[in-house]
Amino acid sequence: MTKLVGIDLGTTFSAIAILNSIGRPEIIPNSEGERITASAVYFDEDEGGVRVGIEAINSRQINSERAVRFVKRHMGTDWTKVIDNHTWTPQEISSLILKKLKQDAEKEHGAITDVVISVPAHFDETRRKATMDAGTLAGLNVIGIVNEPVAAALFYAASHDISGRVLVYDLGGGTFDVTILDIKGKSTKILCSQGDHALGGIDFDHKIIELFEQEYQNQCGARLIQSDQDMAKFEDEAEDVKKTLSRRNSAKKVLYGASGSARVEITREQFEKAIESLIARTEMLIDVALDEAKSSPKDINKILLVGGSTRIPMVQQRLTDKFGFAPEAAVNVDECVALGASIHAGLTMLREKPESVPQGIAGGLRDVKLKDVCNHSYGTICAPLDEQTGRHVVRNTILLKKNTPLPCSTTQTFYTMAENQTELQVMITQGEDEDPDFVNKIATEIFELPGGRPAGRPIRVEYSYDANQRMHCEFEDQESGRKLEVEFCIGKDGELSQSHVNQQAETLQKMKVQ
Amino acid sequence: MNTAAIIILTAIMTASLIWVIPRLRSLLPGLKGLDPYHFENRVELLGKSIDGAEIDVLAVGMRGRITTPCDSCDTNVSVEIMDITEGLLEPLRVLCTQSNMRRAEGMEFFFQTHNGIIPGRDAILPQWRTVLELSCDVLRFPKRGQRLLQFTTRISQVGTGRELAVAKTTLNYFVAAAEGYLDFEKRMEQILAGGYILAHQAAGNQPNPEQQKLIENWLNGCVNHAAANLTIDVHKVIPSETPEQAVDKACEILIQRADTNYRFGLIEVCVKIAAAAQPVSRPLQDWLKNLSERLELPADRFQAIYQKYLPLDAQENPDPACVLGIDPTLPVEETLKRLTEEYRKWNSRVNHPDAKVRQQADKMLSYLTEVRSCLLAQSKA
Repeated sequence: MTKLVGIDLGTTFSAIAILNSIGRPEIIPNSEGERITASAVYFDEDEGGVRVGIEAINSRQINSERAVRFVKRHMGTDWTKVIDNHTWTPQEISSLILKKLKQDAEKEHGAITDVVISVPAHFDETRRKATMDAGTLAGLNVIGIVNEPVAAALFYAASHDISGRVLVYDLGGGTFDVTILDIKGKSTKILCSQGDHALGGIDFDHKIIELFEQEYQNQCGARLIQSDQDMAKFEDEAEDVKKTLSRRNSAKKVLYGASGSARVEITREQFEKAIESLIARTEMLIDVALDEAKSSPKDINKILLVGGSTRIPMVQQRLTDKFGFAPEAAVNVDECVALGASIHAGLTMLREKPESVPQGIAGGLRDVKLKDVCNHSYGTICAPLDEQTGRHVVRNTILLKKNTPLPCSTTQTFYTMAENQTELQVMITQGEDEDPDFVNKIATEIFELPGGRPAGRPIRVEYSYDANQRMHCEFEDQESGRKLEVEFCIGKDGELSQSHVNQQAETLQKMKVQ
Repeated sequence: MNTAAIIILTAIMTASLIWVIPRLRSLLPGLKGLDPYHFENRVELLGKSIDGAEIDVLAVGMRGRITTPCDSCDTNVSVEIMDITEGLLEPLRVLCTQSNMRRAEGMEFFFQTHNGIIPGRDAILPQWRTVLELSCDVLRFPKRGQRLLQFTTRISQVGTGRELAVAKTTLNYFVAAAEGYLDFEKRMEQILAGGYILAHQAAGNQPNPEQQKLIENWLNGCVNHAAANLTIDVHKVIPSETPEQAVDKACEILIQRADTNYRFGLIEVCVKIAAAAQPVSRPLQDWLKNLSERLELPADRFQAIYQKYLPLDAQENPDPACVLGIDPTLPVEETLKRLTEEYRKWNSRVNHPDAKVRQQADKMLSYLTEVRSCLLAQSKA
C-alpha cells in the first residue's frame, strides 16, 4: 500500500508525518520517542558511523569539528565540510538527516519511498533541486516540494473550520517566511509568499551570545568565545536562555570561559532590545507581502504562527500591535509543516497516480483543495531599446511573474539582432530585477538557427509552470519551426546528474545512521 | 597650274587637319570646347523610398571620350567627394560609414569599381552611364546646412593606376543631419572635457592609480566610440578659475551638448571612481547625488547605479537620501512605501549565486531595517 509521507527538513529541527488510513496526517516519532528530530549530524570518530538528532547535538561539544548544524542555510551553495578526507556537500549531509527520519519511520510503518519535502517559500530553483537531491540520496522518491507556510496553511485549513484571509507567519530555526492566503472551507488559495533566508532562531541565539560576550568581557576582561568548540557550547546555552525568556522575565547562567566563570542575568528587556533589528526585518517583510497581496493589515482575518521562534512574546506582541488582534498558535508550531507536507503528498498522488491512493485517504482528502502560486519571477535576457537613451541595452525581461496562480503559462515574441544570426544564447533567469547582474541565471543554452537570414527574425518564447512546481521553457524559431525545450528537473545546470545521484545514494545507503 | 596648285594645297591642308586635329584633341583633353565628346560627369539627387523611409540618393554618371595608351585597356572608375563650401583651397573631407566605400585608411569617402576593357585607344561613351548610386545616409559631412560638394570621377588603368580621364562637377546639397562631423568633434571635445572635469572631481581632483585608470579607460572608450582620435586640452576647451566654476561649466555644457547615454555613462564612472577610494565621505555622497540631479538624470536610474557600484560598506555614514533616494520632506507613509519597495528588491537578491551580491543584499536589508526603525521612532517623537 502506498504510504503518503511529508517531511519538514528544518534548519534546526526536522519532522516526518504520514497520512493515516482516513487521510489524516500524523507525526511519526523518531526512535528516541521524540516527535521532532534535531537537524544536526555528528560523524563518529571511531566507528565511522553518523549520529543524527539529539545525540549529534550532545556529541558536538566534544568535537565540534565533526559536527554539522544548520546545513539548510548552505543548501544549493558550494559550501562543503571535509571529514576524514571525505568532502561532504550540503545535499549529502541533509540526506543523512532524511535517512534517519526515514529509517525511524520505517520501523513502525514499513518501507517508505514516496515523500513530499518542505522548503522555505523563498528557496530558489537551485535550493529546491538540492533538497530533492538530498531526498534521492536518502533513498526516497521525492514526488513533490512544498513551501513550508503553504504546508502549514494546508494543515490548518484541513483541520479547522475557518474562512477568510490568513497570514502565515513562519519564523523557524533558520529562515522566516510570510505567506498570505485565502481559506474557504478546506480550499486554500495562496496569494503571495515572501521570505528571508537568514532570519531565524539561530540569529536570536547569536544576539544572546553577543550579550554573553559583553557581560563576560565586563566581568572577566577577556573574550568568552575563542574557538568553534566554545561557539558550539554557547549556542546551546543561548538557545536555553532564549527559551527561558519566552516564559520568564529573566534568565540566569553561569558562563565558564577561559578566564574563569561569570554569572550573568539576561532580562527579557535586554533580549528584546537586542533582537529589535531582527523583528523589524520580519515587519518589513510583512509589509512587502501585504503590498504584493494588495492588502492592508485590516484585510487580514487571522494570523497563523508557525515555527519555534514564534514563541518569543515580543514576536506575538508586535503582531498584535500591527494587526490589532492576537495571532493564533492553533496548530503545533513545530509539527504543522510536516503534517501539511503529508497532505500535500496525498494531493500530489491524487493528481498524478490516483489509482495508487487508498480509498480511505482519497475520501479524507476529497474536499481539500490547494491553489498555489509561482514563487519567483522567471525571465530571459534580451536587448530591448532603452527609451531614455535610445540604445539597445541588455536587460532581464520577466515572462512569468511571481505570485501567478499555478498552473500557468505565458508567451512572448523576441527578435534576432544580427544578420545571418545562426545561434542564440538562451538564458533562463530567476529574479525580480531588470539588471541582469542581479538575477540568477538558472539555465543557459545555445539555440541553433538557420543561417542566411536578415535580422529581426521572430523567436517565440513560452514559459509554463505546473502545479508540481516544474517549469518548462520552449523557444521556437517561428520561420523554420525549430524548437529548443528546457525542462527543470534533476540533471540540469550543474546540479547532480541522475546517475551521479544514484551512485552517491548507493554509497550513502551503506553508512550507518543512528 | 593655279587650279592644280590650289587642289594640291587643299588636299595637303585637309590631310594635315585630318592628322593634326585628333592629335591636338589628345594633347589637350582639357580643352572641352574643342571636343564635343569631352569626358564629363554629373550628379543627380534622387529621392528613394527604402524600407518605407524617404532617403536622398546621389546618382553619379559619366560620358565622353576616354583615351587609352593601348588597345583593349582594362580600366577602373572611381568617385571622390569633397566639401568645397569654404572654397577650393580649403576642401573638407566627406566621410562614409560603409567600409567598402572608404579609403584603405581613415573614413574618407572613396568609391572605386572595375570599369571594364576599353577596346580602342580613342573610345567615346556617348550616353550617360551611372557609375554609382549612393544613399546619403552613409555619408558624414563636415557641417550641417547648405553645402557645396565637388564630385570627381576618374578613369584609371588597371595595374599602372595611370589616370586616363577625369571630370569634376559640383552639387549644392542641404545636409539635414543633426550635426556634421566637425560640429561633432567640437562637441565631443567639449563633452569629453566636461566629463574629465567631473570624473576628476569625483576623485577629489587627486585620483589614485585605480581612479586614474578608470578615468582613462572611460575616456578612451568614449573617444573610440566617437571614431575620432581626439586630444583635448581641457583647460582650453573649458576655461575656469576655480574647480567649482569648472564643475558648473562642465554641467552646463553636458546638459546642452551631451546625450542621455553619455550622462548615464559619466555618472556611472563617477560613482565607480568614488568607490575606488573608500570610505566615501558624506560630502562626496551628496556631491554624486547632486551631480546626477544637475545632469538631469532620472532619480531611479541614479539610485540603481549608486546602489550597484557603491556598496554600503564603502560609504562613511551612508546617507539614505543618496542610497535610497528618500526625500526628507516626504510624508512618513510615502517613505515607508519606498522602503518596502527597496526591501522587496533587495530581498530577491539574497538568493543570488554570487556571494558578493548576497552580502551586499544582506547589508542593504539590515540598512533598510535601520532606516525604517529611525523613521518610525522620529515620527512617534
